[in-house]
Amino acid sequence: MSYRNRFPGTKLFSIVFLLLLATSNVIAKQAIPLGKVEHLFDIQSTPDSTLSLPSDIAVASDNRVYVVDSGHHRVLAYGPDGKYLFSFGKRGQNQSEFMWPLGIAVDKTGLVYVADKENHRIQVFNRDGKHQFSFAVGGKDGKPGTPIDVAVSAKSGLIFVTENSQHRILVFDADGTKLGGWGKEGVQERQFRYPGSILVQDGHVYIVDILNTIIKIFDERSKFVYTVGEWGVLPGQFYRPKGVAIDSKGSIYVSDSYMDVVEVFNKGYQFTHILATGKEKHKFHAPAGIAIDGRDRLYVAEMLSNKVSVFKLR
Amino acid sequence: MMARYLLLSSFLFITSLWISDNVEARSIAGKRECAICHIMWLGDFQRPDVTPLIPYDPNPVMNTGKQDVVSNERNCFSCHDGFVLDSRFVWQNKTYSHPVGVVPSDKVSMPTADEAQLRPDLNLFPLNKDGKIYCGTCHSAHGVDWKQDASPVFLRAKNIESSICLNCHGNRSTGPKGGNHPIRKKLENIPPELVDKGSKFGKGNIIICQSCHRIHGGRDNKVLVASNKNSALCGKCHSDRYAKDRVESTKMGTHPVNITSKKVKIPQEIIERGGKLGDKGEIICQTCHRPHLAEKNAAILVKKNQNDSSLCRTCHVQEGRINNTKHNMGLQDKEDKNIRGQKVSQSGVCSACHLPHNGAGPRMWARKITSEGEKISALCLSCHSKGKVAEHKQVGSISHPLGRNMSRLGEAVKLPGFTDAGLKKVGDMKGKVSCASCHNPHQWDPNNLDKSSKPGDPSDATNRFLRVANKGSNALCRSCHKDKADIKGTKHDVATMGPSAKKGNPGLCETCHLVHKGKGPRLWAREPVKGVDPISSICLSCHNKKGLGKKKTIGDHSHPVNAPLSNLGITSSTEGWIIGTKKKPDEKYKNWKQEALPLFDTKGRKTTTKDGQVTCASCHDPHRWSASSTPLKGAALTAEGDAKTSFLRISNSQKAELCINCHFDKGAVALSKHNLAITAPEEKNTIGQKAKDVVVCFNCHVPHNAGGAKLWGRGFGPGNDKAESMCRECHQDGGIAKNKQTGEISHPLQADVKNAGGRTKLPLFNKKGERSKSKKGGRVSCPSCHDPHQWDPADPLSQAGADAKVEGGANTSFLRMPAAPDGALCADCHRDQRWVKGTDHDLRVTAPDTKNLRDETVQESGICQQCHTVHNAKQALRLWAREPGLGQDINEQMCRSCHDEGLPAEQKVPVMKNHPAEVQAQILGRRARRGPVRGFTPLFGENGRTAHTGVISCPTCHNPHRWSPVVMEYGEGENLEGNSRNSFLRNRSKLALCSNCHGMDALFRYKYFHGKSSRKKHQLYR
Repeated sequence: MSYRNRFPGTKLFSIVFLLLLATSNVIAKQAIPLGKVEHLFDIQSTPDSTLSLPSDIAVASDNRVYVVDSGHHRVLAYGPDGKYLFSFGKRGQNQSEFMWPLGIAVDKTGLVYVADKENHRIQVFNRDGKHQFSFAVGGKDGKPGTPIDVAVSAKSGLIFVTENSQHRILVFDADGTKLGGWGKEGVQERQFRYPGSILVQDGHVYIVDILNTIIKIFDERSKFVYTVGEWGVLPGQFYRPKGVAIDSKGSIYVSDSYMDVVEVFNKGYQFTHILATGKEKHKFHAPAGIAIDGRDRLYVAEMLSNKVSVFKLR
Repeated sequence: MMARYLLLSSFLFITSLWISDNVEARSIAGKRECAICHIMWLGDFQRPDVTPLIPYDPNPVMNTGKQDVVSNERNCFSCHDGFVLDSRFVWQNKTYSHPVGVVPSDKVSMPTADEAQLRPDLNLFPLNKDGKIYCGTCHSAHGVDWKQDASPVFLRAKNIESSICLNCHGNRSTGPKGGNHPIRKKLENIPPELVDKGSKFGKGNIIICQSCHRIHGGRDNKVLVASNKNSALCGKCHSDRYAKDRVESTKMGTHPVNITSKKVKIPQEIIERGGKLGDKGEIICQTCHRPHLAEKNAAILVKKNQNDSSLCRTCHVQEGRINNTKHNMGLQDKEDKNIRGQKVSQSGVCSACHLPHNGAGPRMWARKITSEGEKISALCLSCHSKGKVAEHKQVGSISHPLGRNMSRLGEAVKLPGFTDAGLKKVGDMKGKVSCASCHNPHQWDPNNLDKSSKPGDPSDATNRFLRVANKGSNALCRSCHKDKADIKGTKHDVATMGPSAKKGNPGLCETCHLVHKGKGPRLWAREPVKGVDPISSICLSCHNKKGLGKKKTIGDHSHPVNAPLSNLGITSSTEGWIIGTKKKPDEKYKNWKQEALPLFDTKGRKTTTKDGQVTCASCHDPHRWSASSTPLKGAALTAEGDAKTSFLRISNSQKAELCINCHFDKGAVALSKHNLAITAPEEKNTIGQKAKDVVVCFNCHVPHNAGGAKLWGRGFGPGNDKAESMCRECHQDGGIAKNKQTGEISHPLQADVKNAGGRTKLPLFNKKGERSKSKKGGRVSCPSCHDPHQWDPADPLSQAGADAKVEGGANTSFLRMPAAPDGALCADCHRDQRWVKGTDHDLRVTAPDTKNLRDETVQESGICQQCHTVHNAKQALRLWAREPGLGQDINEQMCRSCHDEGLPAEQKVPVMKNHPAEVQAQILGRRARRGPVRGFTPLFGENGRTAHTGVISCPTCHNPHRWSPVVMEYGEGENLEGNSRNSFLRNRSKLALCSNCHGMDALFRYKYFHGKSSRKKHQLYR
């Protein structure tokens, strides 16, 4: 939705008023609407190291937090209050090893899905990090694909993967068998330019279309529903949208990794505010994947701060 | 009108705004693709009505300088974070990236437009507004060539095999001749771990800049692809030259890296030339090598090293002195070549023997190694061997031992040992002896390190590349052989010897030892005597009738040498000596303190094995006049040696500490009356020493120049063999033990033990008085039963016998084992008689209070000597010790010593007591002709001894020493009533007792003739 206001009519008073404003060059700027949240804590280390380029977060139904520590090619598990539990994975190409993982998801049964990007596969683990199975993400002409993020439908059990070598969404069944997909490179409704984070909730698939700078919403059968946000640097616009999450009231949260903000839209897809701590908008540091747990806690992966910051939304 | 104008103006203004807004909107849309990076081109920043989420700042001041925001790192990362493109590795190791925000140094040649390869019309690599390098210097989204293999990351120029790097760093591509690491050279084996870390190689595996450098995401300074701590990166490709420590370097034959040296200090010159050290000052590859901008034509060394080894000598200053010595191969043989085929004029003096890489062994040896054994010595022998360049300086077949553990010295010394890996060890008792322990091949004269030498120059013990000058007092030898230093001032010091010993002006040690080209064991410098063990041979080379030590010869009878120590019941091992065996030590001597004296093997080498043999050097330490803690020196030059001096290893006082160290079982003699210092202090041995003055052993034995077997040191008395003669030297009329003689009737000597029991544990002796087995002529002699060295066999430490007046008994008297009360000593030979123990004839059972002719009870005399007397007997037959009774023959008389009325066995007197005396029997047959036949009942001649023809006497039917012929066992210790199957009868005979003579009617005859009435009728009994 544009903020470019339209003049509503030809009322003389308004014209005169605006004319005066224009001639006097003192038009007042509209302030950025802010929504205050409370910073709880940061997740930034394990007992023996600090995080490196954390890229995404997933929160299980028991509020266990899984963080993709992408620089270390591993996944870290933390308790609901940020207490370190364990890690799994290391750099490599074997089972339970990762090469530059990026996105992550947890299904309703607690299985953890990791987009193992450079190994061109999705690896699935149980809640304790024990490998369950993997499935390949293909590209074009038999070449391997590039999985960016993964999401699992609580409703259908389908697995949705953003594959950005072909700018598309792939759909797999619960066993990892490819069922189909949609999208190609372009700017139209069902086209993408580098689809990034993906979220499935209440039958809707939310896809961050990074270079189209928009959140596209489909139903699980790939029927286009609506969009959120648009290109730009003004409130409600995106420059580098990366993460998307929805809170208990249906508000949509989108991180922008260049402008370092998290923008919030209501259930009607209208922009409402920018997250703030104190009197100013909260400045993140290259925020990427985000997640919201059942307690309405927001987790933001700040890649260049090498941390996950946790906020209480309300 | 005015209002009309106002309205028109407003309309025009609004319209203009509208038009303007729409133009701007179209403008933004048109620029959108550009604005993906050029964010500040967005017009919304200029909007007066709303606040953008980020401020408008097209040329922000950043750490790298003032530059267009499009080249901002954050802008790059917003796509290259993995979600669009993936360059996360750049930010993962952001510490090590190509520098930005710096002004290019003078080592960098920024290409001008003319030099640019592909864009000659443009300035190819722009700097930012501050003249500094920034991202945009190399990268531009508007790359000249978008093919992935040529410009995969928006580079401003093609990058085929690091070509873009060379635009600026062209001066690093000149190869070794230009002082740079080679590039575009094929690497045969690319280390996979390097590729894993991002290393890249060109087509055909050629080395390019990116083989070692990773412009973004490097892992070390200089944007190296992997950590180069301690030159680890160098070692990835040059693994054959990259030793992780000294040990590995010796194995690999390469210069050590990753080590620090106390001896070698890296001079400032090296550092100034670009040489580097590790974090802790370690020597690393880059200490000598500089991969870029090194000296030209110097193999990328920090300093040229050809011809004169100047680089080597920069650090190895001390070793550099070799230049002016015989070990400079250029002086020795200019045509000689190292294993690289280089003459010294090509390799330099150092590399004639050492190659910094790819050496043939430890110390980076540059010559062919043909010898085995100790590693460092093998290097020396690669020249000092037959057919080699230094064959005129060989060590000979007998030379100072190599490869011995330095720990054998028992203390740290200042000379070095060398490990099996070839590492030098000093002052820690580690390593082994090597040529280089004594020699420092890099310095000719240890007292004048700069002194030069050339081939053909004379040499002596002050130079010869020795580590310590060895002239005169032999300081070098004594560095290790400290325990030998006490020889100075003794009779074995050349200074005290005659003129012949001083010929050639030898040093203290060289008088007897030659370090190389020795003539015998112990590097002997003299002609060894043949026919004896190696050690004794060298002692005898002086101590013979014509030798330097002719006044101190050992005579024909001397302490045995070349004899195994095990003969004495001692087991030698590395832990010391054990009396008995390791598995079964002798409990009796478990507290005995023995000093393990040196033993030697058949080649004269010290050994601690059980087979080690005694030699002269076991008792004598030729380097120490006396064993006292402050050995006598000056006095020894003129004084005559005695048992405390004489180069003995243990001072030998009257208690004979040295002798009993081995002859531990003889030490008790000092506590007995055989210690003549107690019983005859003025008595002299054959060499005139009084008993009161000498070692107790020397009363009877002398270790050298003895009179006969047993190193006898006294005269000989009468006797059938030398052993008896030795005893009777004292135990004879007029002798000092004249009161202790054996009498006319005594236990037979020179008797064959076969006549008694057939075998014995007691020693037997031949005519010469030497111990000998029965089969080899060993016979019974005095020391068979007597051990003259211990008074009480049950208590060797008893002093009860240390008095001439003390009378011995059957369990003392120097007996080898107690004869009382149960007669063990006698029974050891008289085995058939041992079964008397515990029977009725053991008088402890039947008559404990009765006494023999010596007025001894059985407890005092023992079982045997109640009836038999060993010495001074009254009756020769059976050495009978009791008063004979009445009887038809002497045997019956002996039996009746007890078996008669009023005597101890009066209850055992036969009613019909004997066989007719007139009847004599004869044992016939072939076997009988050869003597009395076992198995047949014995007959007795007139002298009472067994005979073929004789009377039937008591012992014909009875064996008085064995209760039962059926069961071979001791008696039960009770006075039992006998029957026809025991009662000391011989009816175990092959032919039943009576039927031997009387045939099958013997029983009837027995019944008849042993009846009271019938016997009376028979003429033989009437």
